[in-house]
Amino acid sequence: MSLNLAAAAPELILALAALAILMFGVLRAPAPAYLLAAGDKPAAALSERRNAEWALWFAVAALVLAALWAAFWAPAGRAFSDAFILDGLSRFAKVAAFLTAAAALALSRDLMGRLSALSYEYAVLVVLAALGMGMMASANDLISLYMGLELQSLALYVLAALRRDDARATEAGLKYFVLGALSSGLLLFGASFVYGYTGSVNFDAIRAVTAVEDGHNLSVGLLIGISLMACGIGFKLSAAPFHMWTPDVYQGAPLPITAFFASAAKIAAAALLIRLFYGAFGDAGGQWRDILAVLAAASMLVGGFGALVQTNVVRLLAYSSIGNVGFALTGMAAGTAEGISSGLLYMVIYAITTLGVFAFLFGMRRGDKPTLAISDLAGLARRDMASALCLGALMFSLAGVPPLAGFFAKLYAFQAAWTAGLGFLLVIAALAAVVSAFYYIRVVKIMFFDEPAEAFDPQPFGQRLALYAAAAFSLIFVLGGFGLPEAAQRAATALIGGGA
Amino acid sequence: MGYVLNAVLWLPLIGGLILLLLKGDGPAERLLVKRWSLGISILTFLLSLILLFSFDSGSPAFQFVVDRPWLAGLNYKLGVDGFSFPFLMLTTALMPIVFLASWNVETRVREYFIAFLALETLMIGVFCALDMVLFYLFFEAGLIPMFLIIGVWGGKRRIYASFKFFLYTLLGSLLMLVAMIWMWSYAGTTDIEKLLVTDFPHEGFRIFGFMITGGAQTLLWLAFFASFAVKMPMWPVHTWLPDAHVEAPTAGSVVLAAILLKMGGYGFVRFNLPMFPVASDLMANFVFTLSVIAIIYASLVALVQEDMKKLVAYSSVAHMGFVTMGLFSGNQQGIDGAMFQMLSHGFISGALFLCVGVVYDRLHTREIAAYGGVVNVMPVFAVIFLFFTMGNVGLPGTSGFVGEFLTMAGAFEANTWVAFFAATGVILSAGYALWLYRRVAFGTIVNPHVAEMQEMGRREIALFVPLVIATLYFGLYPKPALDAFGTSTAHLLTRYEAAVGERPPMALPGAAPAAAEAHH
Repeated sequence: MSLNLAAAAPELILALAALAILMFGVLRAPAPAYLLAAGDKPAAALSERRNAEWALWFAVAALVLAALWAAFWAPAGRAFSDAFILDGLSRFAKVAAFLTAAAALALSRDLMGRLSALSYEYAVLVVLAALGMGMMASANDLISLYMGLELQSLALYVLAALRRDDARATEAGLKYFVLGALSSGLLLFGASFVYGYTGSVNFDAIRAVTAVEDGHNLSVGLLIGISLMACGIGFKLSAAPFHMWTPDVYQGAPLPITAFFASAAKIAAAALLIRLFYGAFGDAGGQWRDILAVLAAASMLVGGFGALVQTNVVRLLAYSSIGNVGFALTGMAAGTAEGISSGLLYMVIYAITTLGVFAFLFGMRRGDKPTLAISDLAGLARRDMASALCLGALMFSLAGVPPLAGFFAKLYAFQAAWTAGLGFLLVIAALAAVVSAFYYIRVVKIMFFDEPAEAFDPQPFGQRLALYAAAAFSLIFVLGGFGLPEAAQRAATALIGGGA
Repeated sequence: MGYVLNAVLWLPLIGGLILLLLKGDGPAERLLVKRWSLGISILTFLLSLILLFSFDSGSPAFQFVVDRPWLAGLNYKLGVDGFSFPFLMLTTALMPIVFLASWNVETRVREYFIAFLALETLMIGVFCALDMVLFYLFFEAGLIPMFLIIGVWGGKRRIYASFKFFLYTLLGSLLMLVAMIWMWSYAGTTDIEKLLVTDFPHEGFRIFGFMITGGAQTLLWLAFFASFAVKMPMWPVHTWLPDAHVEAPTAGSVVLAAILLKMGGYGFVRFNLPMFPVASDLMANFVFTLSVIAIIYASLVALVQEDMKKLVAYSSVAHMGFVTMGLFSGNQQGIDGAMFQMLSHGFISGALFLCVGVVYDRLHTREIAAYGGVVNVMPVFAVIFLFFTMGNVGLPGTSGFVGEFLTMAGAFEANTWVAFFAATGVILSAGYALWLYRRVAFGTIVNPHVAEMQEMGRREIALFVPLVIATLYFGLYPKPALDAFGTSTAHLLTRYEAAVGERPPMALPGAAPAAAEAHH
């Protein structure tokens, strides 16, 4: 096999963009502060800030271009001696991950500036993380899978600790790093088992071996390998019982970074899971479907009950993301084409919804201080009806109440799980959905029924627009789904229908 | 005619969305909002009249069908038959009254009317959806505006009530969703028209050693039952209703009692009876038991209420007991009677809640003890209140009588004991209703505030006129409604009897349901 760079063009765009931003940042950087006269310092800070903004917009443009390229221009095929594959699945995942990354990045400009965390390195790290995500979605052997995952994870560790002067952020970054390294270790350990017992790192070869053994009498070593890799991916997805880091990291990291974790990173992790389990172990479904079903049930319950006692909006959203990953896993545990399409659809709808919520959270500030208690939302309907309505729509969507987008996400996931015979899981899902509905509608109650609290600072236009757009998406989805269900189905048949 | 149905369905929501664009919250704008909403609802009603004139009550087929592809695997399919059309008319006819009754609302007027307009679309949608997922969508989405209506414009314990309402109904509905997904994967379609002619398996099987008689049908039946029984509401899952009613604003109570409760009964005739006939037959005694308990227990509870709205709410629970009893009697009179009872309960309980609203607006309490002697200051009100009290009791000549009589006739055929116990409910209903009337209207005026109460104005009288006419008309001449129901019921029963007859005569634990024996 040849290099076939055209198939990897979106990743190349991102890699070049990251290098270009680095060069730009280094060449345009003002002299270090200790070399400057006191009078020059404000000017230097201003130019640094301006450089960072340029870098940010350049990164957004690169991400959008990469997404467009992945959608329309990159030819399907394999590259780098079969280590990299561009098919319907990776296209769908890449477009979704790059676009949500671009949106998260664009939205964060104002708040990162206020947190004085806006630097050109930020843009570089986000682009590198996105590059890792692209690799994860396209990985076709264990080495490229690990490479993509680590590229993404290392960038995310640094992003979580981007505010070096903030104790909480540092704690979050360290926590994330230690636990993330552990999970990467588990994944790598599992991969070595898989390699040892199949004799190959290539997914097609692994699939051929597991298919011969019929998926029923796989060797124990291979099963250990699969289980360990599931643990590693479970961590990246923040599925229970590997969810412990989520609330602390979500709360500690700067909010825009959290938004990025909750949207693009989740889509990429789901794509990786699908790539590995449906691709490499696709013919041994009986071995891993139960693992995913248990992860799904645990996540839904932890997400549902854990969120009940939260008082901080970000922690609430952290548990909500655990629960929602559980619902997505319910679909993905099916092991069928519907399983893939419902999982992808779920993650995309969840990412858009949650980005809308975060866009509002960015502006939950009074006197330029963040006020992120749920009670700060009290009486929002009387202070700012439009925002309250939109946020309410997003909450009902997360709770899965029709006619909002979240309902269809759950519907397709449930349907996939049912046709695969996971009826028991569905009953748990139904109960967990009621529990989690409680805390979503509690937010609605606080916004609509309670006496108004003090008003927030005025929201920048971009954040408002994102909130409105996400709410409009979840409301209008019912009319035709924006072609998303069909696109997800095409992505799924590319992996399952088209063969390995 | 499909486009007229589409227009009837979406007009209220579009009207509500246009209100979103309105700026300002002065008295002029408020009046504009009220007039606009009333106008939209009247226009919807007029449009639905077009449907009424072209509706063929002699045909059991779905009429005015609209069918379009929608999201992957689903269809946007609408249509009405003899079961759903009367409820559609009930909804469009009651909504103008609801808006007129809300004329005194002064807090967050625009949002209030938008919520009700959206609710109207969702309620109409439930009655005319012919795709299972579309049905679920309308059925569930109604929770959102109702949650907000109770929570924002309700009384003191509104938050508790709104949460109870939301979570109770959501739990029931999600089980129904799981069952719907089962049916979707079994029949390969979500089209209700096709599902109605699908034979769902009813061979018994074992789960954890328990024999499930009636097999998959029984499990599906139970899942749907969980949802509709909560909505209905049946004893023992009725407890959200009194709380929701007491805390809802008057118009909210009217919508809740007159239309939302009917969704449960409609669900039973749309899904449980025709799709799972074997299970319905098996479960008939179970439903009879719950219905009889509901009738007697709710009536007794109604007797001791001190809050007028709670009393009417418990009386609703009792009357819905007649409905479920009639539905599962499995014969023409029972089902016709149950449908008719729901229709008539729509007028009568709606009117009773309006009556409570009228006195509440004057005295700002719903405590029965605070009243007494109202007839002295509000004679017109006393007459109207008496009329609907009599309708609630089931006096011959009012529509309440027809429904109660037919359901009991149907139940008598299925199981005489059920009819016997249900008949005691009629006596009890006379007890609590007349006693309420005596304590509110008659006697001497003890509370000095009662003496200052004003007689009803023209707007208030206008609210009741159409309801009085409808109650009398259907009481004296129930044929139009019974014709519409009857054709569909007969159609349903041919399938039902065929399925129940074909059931292998297996030895069931306990006695075989009497309804089954009657048909053999």
